[in-house]
Amino acid sequence: MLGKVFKYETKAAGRYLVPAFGLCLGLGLIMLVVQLVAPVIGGHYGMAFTTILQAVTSSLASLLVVALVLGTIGVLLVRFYQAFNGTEGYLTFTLPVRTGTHLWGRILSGAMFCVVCSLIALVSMLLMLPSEARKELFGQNAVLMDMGFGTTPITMGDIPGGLKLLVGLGLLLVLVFGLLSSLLQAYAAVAIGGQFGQHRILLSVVFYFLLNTVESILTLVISAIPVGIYMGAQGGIEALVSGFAALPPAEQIQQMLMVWGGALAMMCLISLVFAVVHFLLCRWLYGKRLNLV
Amino acid sequence: MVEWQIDNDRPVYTQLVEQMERAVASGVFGPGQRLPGVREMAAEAGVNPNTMQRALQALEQTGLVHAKRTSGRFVTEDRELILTLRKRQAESLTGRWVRDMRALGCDGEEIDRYYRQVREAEDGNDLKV
Amino acid sequence: METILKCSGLTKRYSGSLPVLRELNLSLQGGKIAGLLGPNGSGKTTLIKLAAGLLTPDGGAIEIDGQAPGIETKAKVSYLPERDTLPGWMRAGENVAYYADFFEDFDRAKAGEMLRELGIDPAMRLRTMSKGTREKVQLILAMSRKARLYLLDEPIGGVDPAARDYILTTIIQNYSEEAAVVISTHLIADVEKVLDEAIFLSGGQVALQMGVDELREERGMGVDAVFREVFRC
Repeated sequence: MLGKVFKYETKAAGRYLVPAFGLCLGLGLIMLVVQLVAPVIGGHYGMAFTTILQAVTSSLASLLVVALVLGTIGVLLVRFYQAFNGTEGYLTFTLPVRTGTHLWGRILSGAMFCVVCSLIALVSMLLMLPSEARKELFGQNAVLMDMGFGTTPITMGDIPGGLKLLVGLGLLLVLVFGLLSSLLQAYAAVAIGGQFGQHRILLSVVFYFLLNTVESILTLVISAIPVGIYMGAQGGIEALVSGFAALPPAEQIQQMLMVWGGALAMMCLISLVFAVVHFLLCRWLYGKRLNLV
Repeated sequence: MVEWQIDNDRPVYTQLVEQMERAVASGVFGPGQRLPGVREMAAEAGVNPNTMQRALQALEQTGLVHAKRTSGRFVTEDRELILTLRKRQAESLTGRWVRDMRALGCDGEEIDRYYRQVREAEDGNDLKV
Repeated sequence: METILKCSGLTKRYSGSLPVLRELNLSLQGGKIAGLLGPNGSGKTTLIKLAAGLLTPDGGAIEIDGQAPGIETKAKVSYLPERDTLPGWMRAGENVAYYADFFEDFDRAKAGEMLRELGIDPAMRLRTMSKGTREKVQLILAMSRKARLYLLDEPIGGVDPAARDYILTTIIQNYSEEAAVVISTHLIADVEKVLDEAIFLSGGQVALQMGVDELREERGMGVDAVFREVFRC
């Protein structure tokens, strides 16, 4: 059954997303061509033309990527709402399929689209951005982490060769995971909204903001505890910073990577816990407390 | 085929029996003829299949119809029985008419007269058609 | 004859108001076509949705073939909703394939034949069809299943008289001793010849459940007439 749910959900969302992805890539290619041609034409009109063109394409690139990501989340969310809270719910819930399976089908299909979306965003950016901007974001000098306080920022170039790919994949995974947990949070809000008889869309939006606020605060509080403990053990933040500045650069990098990795891991863990809670909530509300109006 | 006229206000079962008897008596279903299946007959009449089944079973009881295990239901070949049924139906129809005419206030002589007039007119119509 | 649908003390209320169904008791055997009759708001649709597993009871129990509504019962219940719930973006043929994929008892050939008989093009998208045509498609999907329990909520409400005859004929021809059919309708006069039993709902309970011919003999009038008397405004 899971395979079938996955198949049909992918087809339903794909009707909108596949053309959108194609459009994004298409635009990326057009921009690339424009950029390659620009210096040739620009040479006649001077540097100003080329610079303006590059500025325009950069802004368009970022807009497009943002639109792509928002659009993907939007489509997935609307599909979920339609299938569970809308009139299509009559079809969804008369199928001999467990609630959990219905949810997993949407999560897996959503995950797939999120991965594709992220890849397309990446590729589009690579295509669309002028070469300097590209190097800034992806090249050796791309800044990964800047602790401030007068320390040297860590760049892509600092990471040993073999790990670069891993870091890249890791970042991609984190991005997808972030998208998915946001989705699940939205799904939970929709599920709660669906419990009411009227104004369900409005209530879903309200509960989304509520959930988001509450969970953000909780995340901050929970992650502040180990940070506070660590800082206290090191004798306060000034001691920490001065101790850090005194280290040789290689060790600085190592320490930063550990802290950075640790922080990311913890955020992911907290997100995971929330995601599980959201999943269980959806399953309970649509399983044992279903009241389709 | 039977021109079913089923009325909501009387038990459907009774009406089905009556109209099947009429159909056999008037030769719509000939002696020994195979009847369509219950579902098909029910669909034609627009009635519940269980009710049609009960009606056909009632006809089996009176011997008008008999069931052969795998081949279905057949009208009886007993022509005597069919003629008796026809006689009974004709008498019933006529009796009803006579009673209605009497209720109208007609005496025996008027009844005969009206019968002759209308009969001749009907026969005339038949010829024209 | 087995009991296919059973309600024991079934209670359902909406948002803290008065209960729509109050301790309702009902038993329906296989091989029966029952009419679920009652004025608007009497709980006909609520009862049907409870049987379909789209609502959860507030009290009491409802069982299909001895099981509470769940994925096993959904596999053997065919539900025809009152409203149009087809996904507009699908084509008719795709919708048939969808049903065939999820329901083991779905007869694809039969569905195809019915579409042909009604002149509906499988390649047509559902949202481009007229309301009447969409309702016919919904009906075809519901009747092409070999289910234990058919729940038809106002099956002839929105269609033309010719289509009504087709629908009633289909219901008759689909008849099986193994299955029970529940037809909820307010168009009683059109439907009553097809019924075995009449179930009247009133005040959230079953006011009367009787064989239709029995009812006709007892009251000397048809089900529609009885209904008008019982539920006189």
